[in-house]
Amino acid sequence: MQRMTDNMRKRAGELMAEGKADRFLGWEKGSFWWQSPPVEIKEASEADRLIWDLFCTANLAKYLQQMQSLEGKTGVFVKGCDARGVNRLVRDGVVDRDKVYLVGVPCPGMIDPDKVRKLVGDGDVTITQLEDGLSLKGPLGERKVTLDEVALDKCLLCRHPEPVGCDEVLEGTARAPFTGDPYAEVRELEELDSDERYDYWAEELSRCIRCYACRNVCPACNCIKCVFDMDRPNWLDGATNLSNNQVYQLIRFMHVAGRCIDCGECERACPMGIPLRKLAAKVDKDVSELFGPFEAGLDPEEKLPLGTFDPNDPDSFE
Amino acid sequence: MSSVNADWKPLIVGFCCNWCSYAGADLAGIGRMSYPATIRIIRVPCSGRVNPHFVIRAFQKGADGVLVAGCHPGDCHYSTGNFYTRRRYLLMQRLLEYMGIEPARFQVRWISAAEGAKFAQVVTQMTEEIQALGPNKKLRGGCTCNE
Ligand code: FES
Repeated sequence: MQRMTDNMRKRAGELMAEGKADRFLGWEKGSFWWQSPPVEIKEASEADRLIWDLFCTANLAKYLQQMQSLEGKTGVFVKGCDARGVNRLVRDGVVDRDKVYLVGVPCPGMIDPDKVRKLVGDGDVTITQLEDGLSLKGPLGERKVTLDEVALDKCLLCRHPEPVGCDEVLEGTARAPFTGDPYAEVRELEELDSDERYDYWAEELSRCIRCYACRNVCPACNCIKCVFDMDRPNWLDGATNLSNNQVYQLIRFMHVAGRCIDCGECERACPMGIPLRKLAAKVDKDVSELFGPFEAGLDPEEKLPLGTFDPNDPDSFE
Repeated sequence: MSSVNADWKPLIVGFCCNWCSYAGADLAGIGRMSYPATIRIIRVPCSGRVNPHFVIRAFQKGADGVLVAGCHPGDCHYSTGNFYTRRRYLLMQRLLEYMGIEPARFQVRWISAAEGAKFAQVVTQMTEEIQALGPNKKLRGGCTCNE
């Protein structure tokens, strides 16, 4: 980790000095042990604010959308999911690939602070990397765990921890890609009958406060003007009630269908703990089942499943 | 369903493309074919015009069923519109089901301008299926303050 941090600071400084990037996006240490929020480095001399640890979860791709209007190039550090996020934005024509410089960081997987809290409590927590795992120290005592025991669920299921399509990749080892069934949870839900499924989602979605954090953080939700922000026509009222919340999520997941890169940021950003990845995974699974195996975000020139067709598509409509 | 009164009839919103299905519905009328008066037709230029939002919104505002009808694949007036429709709604049908909406409530059919009888038959069948399910309560609601 420390080696990677040093490397990042060095490379960001060098690239900015060489003029290959006019600013850099990375992560810095936040106020709490469980935070490493995004940071924009504007001068080479600021590069040592950068940090790489097990909390660099935030997907930096989305920030590039706002940076597009700035002069010059933006350098950005990307994990596997960030890199696919950048591909998403490039493919959607929102970000100009020539205006970004991508430095890949092989990702070991990130920590879920809640899992750590469960083990050692909250407050004064220190996490040290050992040869073969992590040592957690907190108010409830000390624990030795493997990274996988406290990693975010989305990281445990990550199929592409190695960043794709970068200009350069820093030296390091990524976690082993997940090779099991990524849709196990979806299948479980599919087993239920309509009413049970309805009740399941009604319960989850009734908690939604429509803060739109899931949309704001989503690299596939990159429309300049979002339908949910419009009042004329009024596509959906702002009132938070079950019906509106259901409509919101249905529309959002239809909108990102075939474009969602499965970075899991929606679920992480959700303050109400709604299992949004189960919706994302459902759509993802169906796209592959119906229109052929497909994973979004691996290629900036990919054909979008819903933006194209095949005359021989399955047809159950008669 | 005991709570449903005996002469309850479903309300179906039908999005029909101008060139085939709407003409098909028209033909059913001209041919004096009888089918239940449960469908309210909204004419759209092409089935590809039907935004998923329209369908979900219809359920929210009180539809018991939604039908999207267009030309047969390959016959779309705009050549390829309904190929996109097909992909979009194959996916959305499954997503709605996953959210707990009964599959019979949302259907897509290809009905040509010559298929008046098919139109009548589709509406009859859909009405029967939804009649058996009863009024739709799922997704219903939302604010109606600005209407
Ligand atoms: S015009 Fe009928 S489906 Fe396109």
